[in-house]
Amino acid sequence: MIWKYTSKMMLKVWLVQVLVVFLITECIGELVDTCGVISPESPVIQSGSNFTAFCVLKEKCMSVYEVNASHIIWKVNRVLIPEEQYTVINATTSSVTFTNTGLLNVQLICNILAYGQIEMNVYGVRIQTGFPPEKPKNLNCVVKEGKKMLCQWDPGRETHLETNYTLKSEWATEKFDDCKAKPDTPTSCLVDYSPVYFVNIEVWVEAQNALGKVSSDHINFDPVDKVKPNPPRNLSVSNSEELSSILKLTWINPSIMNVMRLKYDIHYKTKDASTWSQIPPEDTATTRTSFTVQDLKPFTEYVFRIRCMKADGKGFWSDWSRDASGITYEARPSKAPSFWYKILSHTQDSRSAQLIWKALPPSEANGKILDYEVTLTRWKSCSQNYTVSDTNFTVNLTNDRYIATLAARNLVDKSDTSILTIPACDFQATHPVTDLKAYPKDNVLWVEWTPPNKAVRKYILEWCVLSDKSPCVPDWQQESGTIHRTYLRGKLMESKCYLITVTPVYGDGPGSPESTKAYLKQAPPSKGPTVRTKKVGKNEAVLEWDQLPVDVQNGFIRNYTIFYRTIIGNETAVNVDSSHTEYTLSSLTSDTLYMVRMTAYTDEGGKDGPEFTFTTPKFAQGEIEAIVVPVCLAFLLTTLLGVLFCFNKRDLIKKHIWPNVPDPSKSHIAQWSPHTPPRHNFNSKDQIYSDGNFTDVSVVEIEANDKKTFPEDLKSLDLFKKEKVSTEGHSSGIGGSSCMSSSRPSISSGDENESAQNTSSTVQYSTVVHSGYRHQVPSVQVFSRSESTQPLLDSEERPEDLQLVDNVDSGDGLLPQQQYFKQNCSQPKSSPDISHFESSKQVSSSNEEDFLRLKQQQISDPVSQSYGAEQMKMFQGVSTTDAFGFETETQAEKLETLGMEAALDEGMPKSYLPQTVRRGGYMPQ
Amino acid sequence: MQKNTSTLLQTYLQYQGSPFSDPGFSAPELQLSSLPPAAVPFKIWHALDDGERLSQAQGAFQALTQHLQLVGDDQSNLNPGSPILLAQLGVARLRAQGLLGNVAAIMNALGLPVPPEKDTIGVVPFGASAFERKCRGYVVTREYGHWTDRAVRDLALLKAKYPA
Repeated sequence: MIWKYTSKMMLKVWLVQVLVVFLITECIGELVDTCGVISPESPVIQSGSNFTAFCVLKEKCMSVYEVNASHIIWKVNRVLIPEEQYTVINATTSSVTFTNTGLLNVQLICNILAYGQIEMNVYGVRIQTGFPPEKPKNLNCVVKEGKKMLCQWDPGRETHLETNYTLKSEWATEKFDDCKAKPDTPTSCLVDYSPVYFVNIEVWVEAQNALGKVSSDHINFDPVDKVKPNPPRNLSVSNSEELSSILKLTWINPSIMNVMRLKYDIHYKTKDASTWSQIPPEDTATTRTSFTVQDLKPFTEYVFRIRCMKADGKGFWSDWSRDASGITYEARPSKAPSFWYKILSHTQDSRSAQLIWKALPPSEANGKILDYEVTLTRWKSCSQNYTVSDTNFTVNLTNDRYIATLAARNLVDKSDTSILTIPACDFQATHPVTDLKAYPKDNVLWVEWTPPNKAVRKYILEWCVLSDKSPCVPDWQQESGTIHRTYLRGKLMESKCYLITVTPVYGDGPGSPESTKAYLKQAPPSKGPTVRTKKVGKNEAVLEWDQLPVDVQNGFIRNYTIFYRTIIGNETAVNVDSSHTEYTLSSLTSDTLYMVRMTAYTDEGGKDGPEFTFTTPKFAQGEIEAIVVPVCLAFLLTTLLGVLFCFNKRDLIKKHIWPNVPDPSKSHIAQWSPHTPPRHNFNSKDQIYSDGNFTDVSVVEIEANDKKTFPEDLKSLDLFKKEKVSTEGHSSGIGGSSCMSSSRPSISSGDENESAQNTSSTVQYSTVVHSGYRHQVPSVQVFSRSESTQPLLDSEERPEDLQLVDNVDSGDGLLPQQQYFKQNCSQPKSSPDISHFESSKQVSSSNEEDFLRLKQQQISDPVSQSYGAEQMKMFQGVSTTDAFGFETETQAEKLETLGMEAALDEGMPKSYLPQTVRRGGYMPQ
Repeated sequence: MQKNTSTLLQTYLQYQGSPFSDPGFSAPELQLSSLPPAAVPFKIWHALDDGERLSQAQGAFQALTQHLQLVGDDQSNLNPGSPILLAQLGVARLRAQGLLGNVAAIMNALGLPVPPEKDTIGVVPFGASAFERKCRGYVVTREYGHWTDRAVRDLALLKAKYPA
């Protein structure tokens, strides 16, 4: 039991011992169990100075980890410090030196390399840098009334360290408790004792941090000299019925007035003013509870405020009191109102006049105007009184002269009277003002004039906006008779034209009015002038435009500028005076598009009008006539002369132009076949001739033409074609042939030889054919074409058909042969025939086939044979040589293969004639 | 300061409860042996020279500052919930101290010897009853007023003698 107890006790003691030991070792271990220490322990360094830290290793560690001081490495914020900064002082101590340290707040760690390689922390310290406190400056204290003393100072530069500022204060006999500035307001401190006035106190401030301690200059003062009183309370304003120019202020002083005398600062202003006026300080330099402000305007609201301070000026001004306002009492209106009249209507023996006057401005009314007293005195008669509350009064007057007076009345009294003389009806106004000018200056419109040489009682200025849209509603103002310059006191608008009228008023009535125009501020016109042409000539254009309406002018139009340009050319500008409405642009180019626009300028700038486009004509007016008429006349004259000449020399011409064609009717052949009519005879003869000719030529052709006539061909080709054309519409072969012979010279008149040849050949042709016909009739039969002689006769037997065709084509087939020829010959000249020919040419290729078919028909069908014969006749009309020449040239191959048939092929389709003939020929059938 | 003394007296009495707070309370016969009475016949006061007057005031205010401190301590026990009274007592003590300083400065300026501060209370106050303490406070505040009045008279006289 005992043992047990003892052992229990023992256990307990042991446990306690163990616990104690454990705790001790725990605590000590934490504190002690480091391999070394850094000194200084918690360094605070002045920025910019040098600093050295030492790390001292413990022997135990050194042996355990096999290290010495040379194994120490230093780190700053886990960054290795260069080894140059290390110094191994002895086996256990290493130091690191920082030179010229900046502002830093870093962790400096001492490490060892255990066993030469394992890095171990030994000890760490935090380094703080900063500055010692500067001497606080500008220490000053203020005692707000009812509060404790507050002292402020300027702490100087930032120390970057925790710095304590302590405000110390003491009396000569006693020290007060320190006032420690709060960290967030290191520049001021509110002492915790009530200020004791009239006892001097000494105050200074001490600043202290890890790097030093410094105290400010001591200041010694009586707290009463540092007082900032409370502002006066309950400021009130009252006016005086006796004096309209004063207001009395009363207030309650702050309680500090028990301790010290006060002085005041009173500010006042009218209600709408923005700046305060000050009561002279010498008037308010003593303690008081009221003050009377003088020299105020009657019936005006004033605002006041007040503040106070110690009378000797030591200490501080209180804050401003709350504003208080009051209105001065009313006074008699200081001026008579402006007074004027208008005659509204005028009949034989009465007039309606409107008396008008201006409400007095508040500065002159000095109160609320209750009404106006108007008296009207007819000339040499008793006066009538009216009381009007409005500012105008309409009254009927006779034509006599009247004198009207006007006085404004307020609560206090009535004003002086304005006197106005309304002259009799027959009164002639005279003596106007002279040199009336109006000009803007300082944003108002000034009016200036030279007074007339007669005593002027007053001037009346009237003005209104000139506008096309609205009527002139005049405003007016009155000026005293002594001035000759004023500004318009109405609300004027910019860029509006004002018509200003100045009327001097004399004792016997108004003088003559004088007017001028002015702008308060000009602007560029809101619209430009629209320019248009009045007249456009070849080289000049007369432009015209309208004056701008007054509403868009926005100023005095000083000048215009006309810009004109061609579509590609440069713009040309012309300045035109504003008085013009027309301008002539000269030296323009004819037949050119011009663009013209116009700018109107006021003093402030210009505005473009719309662009106008016009084109100058190619010719001046009458130029065309001037050209055309003479030309026509000349032409007419020439023609006339030509005709005259021709007429005179018609025989000669006739001789030259028309070859002497033998009259077939007078030929022997005509008598050769007496049974047939002359025409028939002719035709048949012609046929015969053609036949003969044809055969004759054919013979020649066969013999030699193939080769011989080639040279001529090229020339004759055209002729040939034309001949064929010329022969178109002619049913008879003779027509064609004769035409050919006659037309040739006319076509190529320059080719005299050829024509001569042809003519001769024609002559020859008729003779040769004639003889050849008879002789060679049998030989013709050798050719298949010779069969056409028969149909030829057939056709001779049907002259009507031919004639019909004649009629159709030329319309004058019935004319005598002479004329017929003539016509034929002239035809080749005309172009329509050529086109005919060309169309026939086009047909030609297709007609070839037709012709072959025709050929067959000729063989098989007697009717067609006759038809073919007719065609043949046509063909025979053509010069055989030419025809062949043509054929050979164009279709030489065909000629070789087809022989004579080829000649037909070619000849037929080329001519238009055969077709018409064909038709003509067919119709009867 | 003068006005404040009467205010202090009123405030003091107001906080002491009956009979002190009764209107018109006055007990002029109460005196403290340690506090010299301010009441002095005019002739005697007038007969005093500047040095005597100032030294009497000096001595009185020295005693007053100590007594005001004592009353302040008493009242912080008796009336801990009346900061206005305590503050006024503190201010009064400070003012007395300030006046003391000023008087000392004047005496120095006049070349008079400043009497050293002495303990006028001693062990007397301890162990007093609440009523005794209230009475003591009353006397102190009353005498503070009286002495302030007298000091004002003293200084006014002095001021007249030494203009500026």
